[in-house]
Amino acid sequence: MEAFTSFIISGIQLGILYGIVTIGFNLLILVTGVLNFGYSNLLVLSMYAGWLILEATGNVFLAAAGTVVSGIVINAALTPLFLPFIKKRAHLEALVISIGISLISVEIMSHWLNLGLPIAFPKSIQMSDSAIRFGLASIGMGRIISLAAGIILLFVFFKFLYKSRQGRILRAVAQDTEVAAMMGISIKKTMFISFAMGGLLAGIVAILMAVSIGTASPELGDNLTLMCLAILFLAGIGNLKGGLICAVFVGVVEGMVMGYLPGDWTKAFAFSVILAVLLFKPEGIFGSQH
Amino acid sequence: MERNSKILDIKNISAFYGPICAIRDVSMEISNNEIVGLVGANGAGKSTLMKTILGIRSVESGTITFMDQDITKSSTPDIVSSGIAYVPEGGGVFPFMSILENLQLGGIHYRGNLNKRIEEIFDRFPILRERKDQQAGTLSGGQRQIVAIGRAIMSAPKILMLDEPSLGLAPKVVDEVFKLILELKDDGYTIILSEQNARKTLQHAGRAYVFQTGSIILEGQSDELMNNPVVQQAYLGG
Repeated sequence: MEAFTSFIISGIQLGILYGIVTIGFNLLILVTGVLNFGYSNLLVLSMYAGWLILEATGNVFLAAAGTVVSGIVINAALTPLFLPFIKKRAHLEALVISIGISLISVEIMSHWLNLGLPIAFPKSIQMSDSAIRFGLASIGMGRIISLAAGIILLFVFFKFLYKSRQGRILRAVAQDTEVAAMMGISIKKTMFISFAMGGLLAGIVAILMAVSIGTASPELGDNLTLMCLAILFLAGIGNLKGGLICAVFVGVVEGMVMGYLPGDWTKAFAFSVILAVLLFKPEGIFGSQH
Repeated sequence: MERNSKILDIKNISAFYGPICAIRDVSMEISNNEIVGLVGANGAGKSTLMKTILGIRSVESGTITFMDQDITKSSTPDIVSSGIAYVPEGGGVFPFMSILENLQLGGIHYRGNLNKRIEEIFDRFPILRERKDQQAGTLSGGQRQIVAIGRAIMSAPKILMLDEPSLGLAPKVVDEVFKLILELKDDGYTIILSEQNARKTLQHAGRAYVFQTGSIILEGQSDELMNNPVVQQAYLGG
């Protein structure tokens, strides 16, 4: 029973991170129409940025700030590459651009950073010494912090999206770009803001992953992309809250499989569930909505 | 501002819609606080002219002057902010947002107190206050048109451009919308009204321009146009 509880909590923690990344994908799809295939790879690049700063300075706060800033800057800086295709609604071309960004960022991590070896954050930031114990099982403090911070982040993000002026503008552009432009909303500025918002979410998730998982490799982003795109289709494209619920579900399934089955069957199991669902509900469990 | 002073001056503008020249050498003067009708068939260039004034379509040649400012090359946010608002065909409300949120979006360029302005709009259209939390997509066509007009005047514009406000509405609702347009004139707005319903437009507008394949073929006082044999033949059903 103790082990079960610990797997559930780890699963939810992982699911919340999947959920935030899925929201990052969805936000960009809704506002700009772009499926940014490189989004998770850039998230991992931000983890590398934080790790490099930590290696160089030893200052955890500086590293955390650097991780978030790099997430925002990288994503905002790439916006101009997408703008011409967004304007022409050339979504396939934009997808090719994003795949290019994905490949390039993976190669950069494989060749230039840490000799292509996986990076490991110091054990101290995962706070595994101060773990919460249930009998024989235990959960590292890093995971608990990641879970709490993830939930707070989601709460703040939805508050921003549904209650703030800028959030309203993002939703207006998502619902009807042409009418939004006629109301005098600057579409170009809104595109930059949506990329930067995605970058902000990615930067914070990068910190939470460093704290909860503690390692990163060039391939980590690809795994994350696969999981989050699958969740996105499972829930229904563009459905933010549905995506979050499905992400937690997939996270818990993964946590259980990881806990109880020998060998790494997590992806196979998670995707079998997703395929089974999509067989009966091709539009996703929750359907598309804004 | 003087009641009859010139507020919008369009000189010889042409604009393209893709490769097609959608409006050709169009000139027009709009005075303060008048209702000006744009009459013509679907695709005659009325809508393109409005979108060109709004800066959504770029001007190929010619100039647009609004309150002595050259806005020919201005961006849409600047044009809206300077006092021109647009009600798209069908209203173009944001369907998944509440009425209140639609109004808030109309007011992103409003310089005064936004909440106070929303109260003014609610006083003007009490039905919007009653339903402020209702999703705009669930409203009837006539109600959507009212939300769209309320949203457009949130920015307290000088000029209000209405694109086919009667399209797809029941005859009784059409009458209500035209009555509302007259009331908006009394509120002090200058109104440019694009309509396929030529008879109603000429009954309500002081002056009108008749569009055909991107050009103005006739212009004048509405009562004159109403008696013009060409207009009667082509737009009033003989």
